[in-house]
Amino acid sequence: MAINKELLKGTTTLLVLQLLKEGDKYGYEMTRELERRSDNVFTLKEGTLYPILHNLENNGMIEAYWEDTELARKRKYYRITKKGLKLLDEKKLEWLAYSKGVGKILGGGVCVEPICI
Amino acid sequence: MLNQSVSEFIGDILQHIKYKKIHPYVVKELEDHIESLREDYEREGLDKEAAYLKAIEQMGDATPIGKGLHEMHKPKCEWSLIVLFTLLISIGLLALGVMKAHYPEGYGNYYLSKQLIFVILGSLGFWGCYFSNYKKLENNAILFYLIGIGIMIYNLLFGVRVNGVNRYLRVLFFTFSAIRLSIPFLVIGYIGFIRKWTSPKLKNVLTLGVLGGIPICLMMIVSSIKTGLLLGVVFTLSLTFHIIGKEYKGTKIKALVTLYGTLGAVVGLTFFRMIYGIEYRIERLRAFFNPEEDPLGYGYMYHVLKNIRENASVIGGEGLEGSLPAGEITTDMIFTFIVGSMGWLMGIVLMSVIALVIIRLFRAAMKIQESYGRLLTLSISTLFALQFIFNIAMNLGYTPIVGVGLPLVSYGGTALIVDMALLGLFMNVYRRKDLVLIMSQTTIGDV
Repeated sequence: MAINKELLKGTTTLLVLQLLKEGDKYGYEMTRELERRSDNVFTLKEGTLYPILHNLENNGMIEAYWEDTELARKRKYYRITKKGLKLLDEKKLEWLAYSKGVGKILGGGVCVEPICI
Repeated sequence: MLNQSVSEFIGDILQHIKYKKIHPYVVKELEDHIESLREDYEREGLDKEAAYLKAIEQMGDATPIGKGLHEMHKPKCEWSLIVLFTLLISIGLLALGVMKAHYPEGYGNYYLSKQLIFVILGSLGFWGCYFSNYKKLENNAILFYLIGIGIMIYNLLFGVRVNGVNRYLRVLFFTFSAIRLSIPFLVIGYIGFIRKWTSPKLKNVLTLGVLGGIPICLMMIVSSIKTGLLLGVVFTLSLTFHIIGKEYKGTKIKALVTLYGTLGAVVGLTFFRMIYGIEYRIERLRAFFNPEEDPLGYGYMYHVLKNIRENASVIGGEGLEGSLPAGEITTDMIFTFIVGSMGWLMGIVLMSVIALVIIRLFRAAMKIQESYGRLLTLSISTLFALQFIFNIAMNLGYTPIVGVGLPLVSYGGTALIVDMALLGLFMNVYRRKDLVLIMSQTTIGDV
């Protein structure tokens, strides 16, 4: 099922930070990982990831560094900072509270990790 | 290299990003993404051309990407700071206007018109620095440092003598306070040195100590102990910021203990020698603790200021009965004049604006990720915060009276122009904070 763009927008930051918490990644790698782990629910327009990444970088949530690839291309990797880890924790709590609330309103049958209503 | 439709797609994105210098960095990153997608699709069996087209489709619409990236990397202006600076300058001008109204015959007349000219020159300095490129300063640190030292030595040899001390440099029709003029050069120079040489190696520690010590000693010789101290505190705090920051890789605690241990010893020794070596300094300090003891000598100023503070009303000019100490009342003591002539309410407004400026400066500096810009803005913020806080404390009678002006408010040409130029530089770093970051990473990648 394709997810509404607006719905995706609000959570991309949270998901990106979570991915980077698990290890340094470059943009393309993140989009593949999002697709794979969400069973293809998150198929975002991949270019829109970059303004988000650059914004996080400008605010010191993540840092970037370039590395050479075996294909003679330069690749820009991102790494989460301490500040970014803090933001991730906040965003996680916010998301859990939000999704729990939505779940409660929609009522039975809606299952929200980690709480099933 | 790339295929036609890819170039067009990237071109459409770049068209929205006004600042051309970051284009190559954006291109490299996007190309890598598109190439990776293309490889995937080719593996799935598409031919190269079709794979590229599908990759572009997967990237999405060029316009929102371009606009989003432009938004992230366009110059930023912290308008609230510009408004606050303007407020401070206006309050200073207002005070000089009030002085003109109070003393239309005497010196009151002359300050306002001169200060207006200084404000115009200062604005030129501000906007000049605002639109410059601070990254060029770092490579010229030695030059700036030498200019700063040069100004002081020139002043020592050829300066205009006032009260037995060389104070002013005369250039064409202008006279500059040499010490005020040298401060920004020395700070910019020293920050460059800090970034180059801060390391646990003894040789580097000594180099930094000597390079920092020379201008401070020179200032003290030129009679300005307080400016020497001010510079010393700014240097020390800049070093501290650098050590605490991300760039410094050694053991932070060890570096800080070494720094403050050495400094404590050196400063302690010199300071006591200077204070106790010269009779009149003791007298001046005694006047601070017991102004009544010598009400016509060194205690006079404390006495006058205390009177003004005690007579001042909430609104209005009751505080200005009796005589005013000429000169200093427009420069270092302008806060007391404002309280005396316009009342405590105005004084509180001024203090609030100052508090906001200090908070805003540090908050803006902390937002800067690029390490040189961050250190530079932190140092400039420190320089201003120290002067603001010390001057207000002095006007409220909490510290001895030494000549430290209230930045942007006090009357004074060199100080105003230099301060406005420094703040312009601060705003330049802030303005470029999201431009330079993306460009500063290639060096990391090349290592």
